[in-house]
Amino acid sequence: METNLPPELREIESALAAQPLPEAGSAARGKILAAVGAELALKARARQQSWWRFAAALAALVLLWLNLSMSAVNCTEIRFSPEEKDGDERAALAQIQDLIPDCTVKEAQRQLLLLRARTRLVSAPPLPHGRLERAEEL
Amino acid sequence: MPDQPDQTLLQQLAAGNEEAFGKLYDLLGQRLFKAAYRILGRQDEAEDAVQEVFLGLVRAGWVLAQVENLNAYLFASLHRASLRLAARRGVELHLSAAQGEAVKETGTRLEDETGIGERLDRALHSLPHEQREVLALKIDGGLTFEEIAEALHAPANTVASRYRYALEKLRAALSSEPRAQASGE
Repeated sequence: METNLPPELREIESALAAQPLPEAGSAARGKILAAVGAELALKARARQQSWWRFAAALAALVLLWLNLSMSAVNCTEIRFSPEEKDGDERAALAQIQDLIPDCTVKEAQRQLLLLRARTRLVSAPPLPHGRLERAEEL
Repeated sequence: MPDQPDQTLLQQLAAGNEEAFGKLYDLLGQRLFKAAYRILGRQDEAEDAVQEVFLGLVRAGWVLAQVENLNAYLFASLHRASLRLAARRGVELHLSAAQGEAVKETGTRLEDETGIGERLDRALHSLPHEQREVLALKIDGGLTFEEIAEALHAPANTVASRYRYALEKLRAALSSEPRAQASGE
């Protein structure tokens, strides 16, 4: 897209184009390219630093994942199905089902868990003298 | 159309090849400088503006690989750098006292036999910034109206109108000046 300028405006345009303007000094090229070089070096350093930061973050993440995985493997007892239970457990389940014929397998397992929990209760320390009486009064 | 940077040069610039920046300076440095000088009116600031354009290219990095028209991109960058420099100086890009001095100095230095240089400079610096910028990008930058429109984020028709108004104002200023001088005497 170009404008169709009348001759008098073309004349002004030509005068502007012909007007001698100063040129950038000979030192300007060196100064600008030195600034470019410094900026490129700065950018390269920043890129290198960000790579190391990324590597450190990745290593920390891997260590954390390993740690959590090991903890999970060591502390979790996974029960997949009743077939995998040991002999005692199976016998106890059978006993519960003999006593309560209507009881489902799931319910029998729940009852077994409750019974076991009860047998493993930690004995509570004796209450200080008088506390039980006060509790009863309330 | 003046020298155009090719796609290979663009890729090298995007990759941060230092030599490519030297090639680009040799190709477009003077055009950028002249346009900046026409806009800012001061040699030191024009050099600073060109330097900012080049530093902007370094910071852009791989974004450059997606640039379709490097000319428009560079002059858009020059436009922003000029505005920043003018803001730093604390003046608008209209004729200020300091710029008036610069113009006077330029006129004296670059005076031609007909004396039109100084008058043209005075008239040029009395133009609104938008019009002077379009003149600088078209005449000194060698950009087309479409490229100027892209650089200034303005419609091409508006850019063409600004150019025409600027030339008309210059013509009016040049033709009225001798009469004003005569009436002053």
